[in-house]
Amino acid sequence: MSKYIEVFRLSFKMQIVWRFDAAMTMLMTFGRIFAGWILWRTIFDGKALVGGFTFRAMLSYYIAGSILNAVNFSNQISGEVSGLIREGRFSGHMVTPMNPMGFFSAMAAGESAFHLGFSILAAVLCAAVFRVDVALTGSAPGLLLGAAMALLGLTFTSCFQYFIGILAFKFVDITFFLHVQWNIIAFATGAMVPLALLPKAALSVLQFVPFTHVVYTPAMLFTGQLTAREGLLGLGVITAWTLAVLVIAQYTYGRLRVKYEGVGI
Amino acid sequence: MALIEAKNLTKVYKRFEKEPGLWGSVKSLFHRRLVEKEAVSGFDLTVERGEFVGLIGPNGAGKTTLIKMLTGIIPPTSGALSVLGFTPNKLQNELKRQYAVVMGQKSQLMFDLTPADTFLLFKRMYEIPDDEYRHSLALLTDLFGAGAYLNMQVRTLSLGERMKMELVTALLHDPKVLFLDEPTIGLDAPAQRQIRAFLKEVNTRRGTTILLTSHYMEDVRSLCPRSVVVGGGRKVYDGGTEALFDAYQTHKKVTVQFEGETAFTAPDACALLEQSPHKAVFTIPKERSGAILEQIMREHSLSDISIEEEDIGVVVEKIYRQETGARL
Repeated sequence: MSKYIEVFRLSFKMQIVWRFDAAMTMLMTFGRIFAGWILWRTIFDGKALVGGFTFRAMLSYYIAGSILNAVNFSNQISGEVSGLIREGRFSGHMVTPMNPMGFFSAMAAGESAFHLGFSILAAVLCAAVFRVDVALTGSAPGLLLGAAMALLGLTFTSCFQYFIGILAFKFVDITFFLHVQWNIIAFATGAMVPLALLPKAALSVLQFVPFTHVVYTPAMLFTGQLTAREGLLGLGVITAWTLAVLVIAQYTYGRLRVKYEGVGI
Repeated sequence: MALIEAKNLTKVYKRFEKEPGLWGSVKSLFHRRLVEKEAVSGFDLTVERGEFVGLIGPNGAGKTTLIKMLTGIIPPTSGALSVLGFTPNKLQNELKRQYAVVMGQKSQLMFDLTPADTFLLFKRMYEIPDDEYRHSLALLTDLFGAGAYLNMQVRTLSLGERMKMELVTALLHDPKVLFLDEPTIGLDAPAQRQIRAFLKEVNTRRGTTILLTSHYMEDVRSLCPRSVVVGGGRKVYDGGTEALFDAYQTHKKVTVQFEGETAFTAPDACALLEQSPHKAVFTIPKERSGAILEQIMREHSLSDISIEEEDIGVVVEKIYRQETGARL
């Protein structure tokens, strides 16, 4: 385990090197929240409720969701892994005594941890500037459950992204898979719109989809729009999916890596 | 028991062939022609503990494929292979903890951080105890005189400094076997010399078994008592390095620069490779080099002269032709 903690630390240290990049990420989070504020203010113009949300609840969800979405850096894993495989540089991860999936997940976690601080700071600033009264839950179980789900969500997306990345062992170019998963993730995480706005039937299906519990459920828990009891099903679903994708990714790696040739590189 | 044992090792790659042009690309959408290439063929190799073996061969000879199979990166198509008693392609951590790989063009260092940061990762990865780590790091950086840039960002290091750090990284856990693929590629002469001295010291002091591939004759000649020559995926020579060069490196390459315009005629037994009014490049038989050079210097006014060993590719070509009767 200590080697993965060292990778996490290494990744965290890497972020500190590039100060401009860190500052811009913070500015972007600020910009995203500002854009959300304008958008939802326009939509709510004269209305007390939209899809069962008040303006305050909607903006709070949007801020929490933006942070959770912005700090999840695991979406880079698939592109990075497939690039390394295509260029023949993945071999470096095959000859060292460390699980490549663990390595890439720990790298993503380190990056996420670094940006989490900046994102929260941007959100606090934004809330202060636009006088947004953020509705955070006062329930300790709700907060804990939300935090656990956010962590599991990061683990799940890391393993899932790694799985997509290693498909390059067989397909070499995985652009198609990347497009499909980007679209599914953007929609099903609730990063585009709160899933509560969708029809009930769609929602009942989505609650068994893992991506729903990466941003949507934890954000709803943090903002007190779901109780801890309601969140428990989500915790079960994301845990099951994380374990499943872990096993599938490991199995796929074992099967596909023998196809790796890296001829001419 | 030998550390590395390969028997009848073969690797066949399948490559996709496409006709040129747009129509060729459209056709390839529906029908793809796969072409097989035997990169390594019926290769036998035994390496004992503490040996320093040079793998020599021209580009595409199969050296890197062989290293990839020995380290488990790719599986052989057929044949038997054992490294330290393990089957490499199973990629067991027990084996990976006992070897190290340095590929000249692929870095293990974290470019945005310092070498010391990467060393810490490798310390954890190989579970090196604190005392051992400190001792190993001190020894290796001392051998290289590389203490000054341990805390510099990797991307700011020169190629030579970076390669030294790659080697320190690879050797921190004191591997039993070190695979080196072109470690001196692109380096200037002083850096090459330093790396050679370092590797010699590591092999002698720690007893590390080293398998080295290199295009530079000097690397193999000064480091490896034993050479294995690979040509067309086959082993064409396995034996003493000096004996190899004595037997096959029969000519030297000479470049002379004339002081004025000169109509130069190459002496008997020499082969002219390149000629201009001010310069001539030719090969001369090694055993007659002294006499012939003396004659040239007597007959012409020279402004410069350089003598090089015969190119490694030419030597391999000669061995290959002699062993198989074919050209590479």
